[in-house]
Amino acid sequence: MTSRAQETVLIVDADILIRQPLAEYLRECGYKVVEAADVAEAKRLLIDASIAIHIVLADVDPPGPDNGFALASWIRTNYPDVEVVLAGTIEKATRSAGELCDEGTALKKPYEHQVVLARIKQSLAARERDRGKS
Amino acid sequence: MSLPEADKEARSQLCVLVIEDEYSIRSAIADELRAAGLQVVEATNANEAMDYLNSTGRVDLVFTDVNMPGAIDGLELARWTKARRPDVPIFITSGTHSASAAAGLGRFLPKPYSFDAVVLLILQTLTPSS
Repeated sequence: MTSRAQETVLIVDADILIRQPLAEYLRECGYKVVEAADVAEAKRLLIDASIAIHIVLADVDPPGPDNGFALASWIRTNYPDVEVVLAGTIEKATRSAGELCDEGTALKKPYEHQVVLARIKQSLAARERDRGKS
Repeated sequence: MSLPEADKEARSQLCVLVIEDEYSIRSAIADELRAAGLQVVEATNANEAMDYLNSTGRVDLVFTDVNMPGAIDGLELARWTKARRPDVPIFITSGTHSASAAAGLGRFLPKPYSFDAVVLLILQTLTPSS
């Protein structure tokens, strides 16, 4: 058991095809995971006293008036104990998830983060193919 | 709530897609379903759900709210899902619509609902021995 026991990760990403595999991976690594599709929802989750969030893994550029940098700045000001990881690419997001997984409460990694990256890329490519057909 | 332990292995292979824009409801029911041993995918609106359903066939039950931001609501999502995946049971919940709105689409659960009751209904639907 590591110091990450019982920690909650908030994933902020507007794309379910990216957010969901990352969330599933981190849950299997032993974290409680909550999900937000934009910065406004992320802030509501952080403000909610019933959910103690320890780590935020956020896309740099989610939709809405605030971007990931603004969210990170807001968190630093209001919740300085919360660790923020900003990811500008899927590669960075999955690598960061892999690093978190190394510190998670699961006895071993369920799979490597490259597997998550490959799944995400496959889903995104399939969606692009579907959109190309319509 | 005491849930039957039978079919635990089978339950862990089952996936429920929850579509709800209100995070506190979405995460609470998702947590309850996970605690019951099911896999859960959380979508914040109907468009996300369609993206997920288009990208993977991995879903055994859809549980959707009706009123959500975005181009289509939960009823339209239910119609879309039923046309493409008639094998997938659909549960529809709303605090503003009545059961007649869900007629022919799926099972209607009025809001506010009991988390325990919803989990039990979903388990009974997915694993009839529960």
